[in-house]
Amino acid sequence: MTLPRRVKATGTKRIAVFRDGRFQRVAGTVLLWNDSDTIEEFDTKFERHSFRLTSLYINGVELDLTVNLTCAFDPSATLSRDPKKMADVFEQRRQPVHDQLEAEVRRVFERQLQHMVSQLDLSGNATIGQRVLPILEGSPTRSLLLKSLEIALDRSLPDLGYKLNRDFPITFTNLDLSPVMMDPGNPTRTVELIRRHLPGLNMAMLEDLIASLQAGDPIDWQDLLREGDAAIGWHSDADPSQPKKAEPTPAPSNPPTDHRLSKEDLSVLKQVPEVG
Amino acid sequence: MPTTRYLPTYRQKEARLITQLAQRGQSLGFVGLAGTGKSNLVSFLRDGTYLAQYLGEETARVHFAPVDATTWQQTPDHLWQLMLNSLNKPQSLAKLIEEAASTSADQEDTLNVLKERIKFICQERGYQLTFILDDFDDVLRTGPLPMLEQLNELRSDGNRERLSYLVFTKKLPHVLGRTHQLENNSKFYDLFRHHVFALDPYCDEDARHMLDHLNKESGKPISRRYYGEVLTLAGGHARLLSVIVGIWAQSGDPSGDRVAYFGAQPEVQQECRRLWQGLHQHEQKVSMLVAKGQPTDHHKDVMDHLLRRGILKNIDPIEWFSPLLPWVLKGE
Repeated sequence: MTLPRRVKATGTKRIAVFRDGRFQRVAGTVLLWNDSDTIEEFDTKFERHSFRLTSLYINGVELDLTVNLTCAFDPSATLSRDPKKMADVFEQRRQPVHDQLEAEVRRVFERQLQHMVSQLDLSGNATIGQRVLPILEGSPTRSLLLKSLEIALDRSLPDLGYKLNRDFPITFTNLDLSPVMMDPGNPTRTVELIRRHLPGLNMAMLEDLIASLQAGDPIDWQDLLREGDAAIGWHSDADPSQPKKAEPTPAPSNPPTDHRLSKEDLSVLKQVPEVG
Repeated sequence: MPTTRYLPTYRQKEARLITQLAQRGQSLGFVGLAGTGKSNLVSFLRDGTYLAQYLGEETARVHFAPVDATTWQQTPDHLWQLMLNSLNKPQSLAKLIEEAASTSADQEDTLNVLKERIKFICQERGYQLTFILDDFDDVLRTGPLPMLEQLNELRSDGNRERLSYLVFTKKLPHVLGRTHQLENNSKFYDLFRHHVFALDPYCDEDARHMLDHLNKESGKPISRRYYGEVLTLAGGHARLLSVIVGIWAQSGDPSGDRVAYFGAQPEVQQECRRLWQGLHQHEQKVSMLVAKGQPTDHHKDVMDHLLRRGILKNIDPIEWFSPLLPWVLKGE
């Protein structure tokens, strides 16, 4: 008689058991009696994930951005050990985990964004800054969007076996508007596009931006949009997120990014005093 | 005769400052380039062999507990666990902790156990305790804020003059914590906001000693007549120094343009990229422009900051800590 093989998961890891490819159960320690039993180990600890969402459209403007969130794969907890739902999750979990999550984040994000944009009253001659305002730092619509994204993902991820950790806020980073601003191989057209979209930029910033676009350097679009819209007023009446008679919300002096360090940021670091 | 890893005067400026503040229960932060020897400084403090020259009679009363935040699992409870584990790392504290554990009731809550241990060390024994929060970038970036604020509360819990933090990061702490407005909302950040220092590359004496140590361990030592060149190439950067010694030991003396030779080595390129990627995006951008000879007047503030950071040694004319970094950046 063959003795069973004992497999034990350690720490936050768990083992899913399959017989002839069909999901059986999840356990910390399993005994495998025959060759038709296979196992898959997975970790239930919370991890921070970043998903780069490309070719998003906001009010007709194409952009890329990264959504960051913290979640854990723990179907036993999210599906209350329901055997049928657990089987669905494990048997369909053949594509890479990251792809599956990314598809869900993109689906939910696009739906929430569409809903938000449909409620904004955008004028026909709105600037690019006003068009992408729903996702810019300091904009009240961004906070709403993050909140609605969090609520929607908190509802939808458990069906995929994921638990969202709401103690760690969802964030958007690395906004990229290069597709709108750049015409590769045509520098004159690129300058034209930038001038049209960011009329408030001074010459030094314009040169800086063009050099960065050409070098493929990271660009602080958030700051540039603010500067670029300065000539026509960042919080003008055309601003779709602001009620017309509301007090203007001041743009934050320090956008929460490290794209552009302010003078105050740069003054923090000191040199260690010399000995003696 | 084997060379010891550290000179008694290793990181003298930094060690003096750290021990002075630890004695007063004051916190501080160091911002250092990736690979610049932060972990070596942590080992030096944990080892404690040479701290008596700074602490004198206080040596036995001042304790450093190193927390390696690269292993943090992104939950408050795990941070308390790491801090709790760190109290077992210095031998002097480990014995004390054993004693504390045997006299205290069983506690299931990690934070409460940690509070009790700190109280035992700081209040009952009257020791100075400094948690070294090494590689703390992700913790500051991720938060959440109430977890970070708990670090201040641990201190307010009767340990004000005794408990302090030494925070090591690659980026500016308040920028890392901007999502939760660390600079406006955090009493934990207030503990060290006026004591955030740049961790420079090694001074010449430390770099030379480190080279001696690496050289003796490499099996194929570099002739001393090349020491000057190796030190210039590495610019006091701990990991670059180790990489260059490794390549030299493997391939022998490279003839011709040594900057081009080493700059073309994949390990050197990888190290330079790692260093550059550890910078803030604004620092990355300006350092790239400087490497390509394209900085303008409105980059001056950031260049001054890069000077304090230790990336540049001089601004007019431009001089980098190591000629290898601009060489690699130019090729990017």
